[in-house]
Amino acid sequence: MTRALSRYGVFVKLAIQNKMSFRADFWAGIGEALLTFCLGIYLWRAIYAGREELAGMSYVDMTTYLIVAALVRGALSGSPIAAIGSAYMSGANAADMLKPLSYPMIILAREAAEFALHLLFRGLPVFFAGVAFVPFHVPEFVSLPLFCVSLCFAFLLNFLLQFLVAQLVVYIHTWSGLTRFWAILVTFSTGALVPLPFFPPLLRDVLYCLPFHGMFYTPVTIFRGTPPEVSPLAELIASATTLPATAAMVLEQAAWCGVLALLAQAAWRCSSQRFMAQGG
Amino acid sequence: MLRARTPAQALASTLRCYWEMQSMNVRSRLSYARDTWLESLLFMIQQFAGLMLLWVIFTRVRTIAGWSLPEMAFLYALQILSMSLYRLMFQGVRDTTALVAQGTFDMILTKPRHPLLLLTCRRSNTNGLADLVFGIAVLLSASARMDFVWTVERVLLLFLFVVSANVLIIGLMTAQAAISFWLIRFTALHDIIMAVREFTFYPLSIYGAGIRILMYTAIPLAFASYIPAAVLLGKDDIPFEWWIAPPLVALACLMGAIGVFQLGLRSYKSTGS
Repeated sequence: MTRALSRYGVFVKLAIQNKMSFRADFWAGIGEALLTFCLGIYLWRAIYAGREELAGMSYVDMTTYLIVAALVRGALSGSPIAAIGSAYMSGANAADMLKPLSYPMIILAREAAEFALHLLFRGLPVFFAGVAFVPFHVPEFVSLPLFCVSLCFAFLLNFLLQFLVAQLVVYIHTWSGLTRFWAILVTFSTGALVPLPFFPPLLRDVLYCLPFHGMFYTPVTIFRGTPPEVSPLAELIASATTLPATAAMVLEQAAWCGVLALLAQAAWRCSSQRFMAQGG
Repeated sequence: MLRARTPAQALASTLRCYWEMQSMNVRSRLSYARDTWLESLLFMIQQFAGLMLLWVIFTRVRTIAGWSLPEMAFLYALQILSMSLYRLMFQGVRDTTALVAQGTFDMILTKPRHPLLLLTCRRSNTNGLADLVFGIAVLLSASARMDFVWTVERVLLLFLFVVSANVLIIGLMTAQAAISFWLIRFTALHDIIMAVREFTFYPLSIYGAGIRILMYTAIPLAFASYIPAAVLLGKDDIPFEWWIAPPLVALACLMGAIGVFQLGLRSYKSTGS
């Protein structure tokens, strides 16, 4: 285990060094994240004008949601689809595949580095700016460790889902359309922009049956401590194990990670057989 | 004996050059026709997903800052149309930063045409076509759902506003591209402009003074979709006489951007290859 970690740790270190060499991009990233956050705050302030509560959430609940969602969005702003897709199109991934290591694990190591950097330099600055200037519910201390675990599962879910989508590049030989497809999924089904309780009941039920809400909605509501509502699967886990709803939500994320890891492994096996080294 | 070309001949030659190079780009893109159209279709679905989110919010409220769902959809459509022609015909200017950083901008300078023309000819993005189709469809659908009649005057105004918005975007993109002549690898301003553009999906009246000043002055994107929508719909006490502002601001922005580009070109030093 330690040996494996040190092997893939090299990729984490290299990815961090590579990212840190583009400091202007980092500052632009923070500026962009702050602007996106401000947009959300202004929009929801206008939506809540003269209203006490919407979809079971008060205005302060909503601003807290937006602050934590900005933290999660910042942390998950890496794009495994773009990394895998562009390496495939240029033929650069052939070099990784020749290494006596697992290719998915190499990509995971690089993405873990991006996740850590984006969390530190994109997510946390916006989070602290939000806490300083916008109404915010201070969470119960006990929900923080669970939030950290949930955030790690959110990263894994994001990685596994994007890894699965990225395998299509071997079949369609383009990746820009795939990133577009991913953006559609994230925009609509994760709760990143509009919390799931706002969706009409039928649509909400469908979205709760999919793994995407585990990327945003789950960690953000766990941070608040009291989820306005949970998915049927999390409810089932909670009633079967007598765990609190938030812990059940984390178990639901873990279950989805397990299922998606198996699917990703199967997809990688199929796509690697069709792999054709391109470029030179 | 060589005879000097008249301005009309020079313009015709420039347009012919532009047409031939863009035709080449389109033919090259269409050699991957399936990917090209799939990308454009997904792009359109992405725009639709944004509109659906707006609909989700409006299942809970009737208006936002006095704007109903059809009015917001109208503004959304104008915002989408504001980049359609730029994406379709002029997006090549975005390549400036990469060309300067890689040292391949020198190739552009060796050709007997103005670099700005050669840059704009580098790319034709079919997502612009998706923008046009989707934007017009949403505009018509939204106007059918409110008390809005399309008169000749309004159609002409819409045409003027869409062209002005695209000229404004071309100006902003040219100016930010020109910064690369001094700062080499500088994409931050482009990202900031795109982030500010997201604000124009909603009425400006919901923002604080700082954001509004920014959008009326330094990055004048208020004139790309908000002012046109407010003039056409008679919203937010924007007087009808303001219809003249978007074309004037767009023209000023384009002229300023060309000036900055020329200035940058003079300071350009090759980075080598």
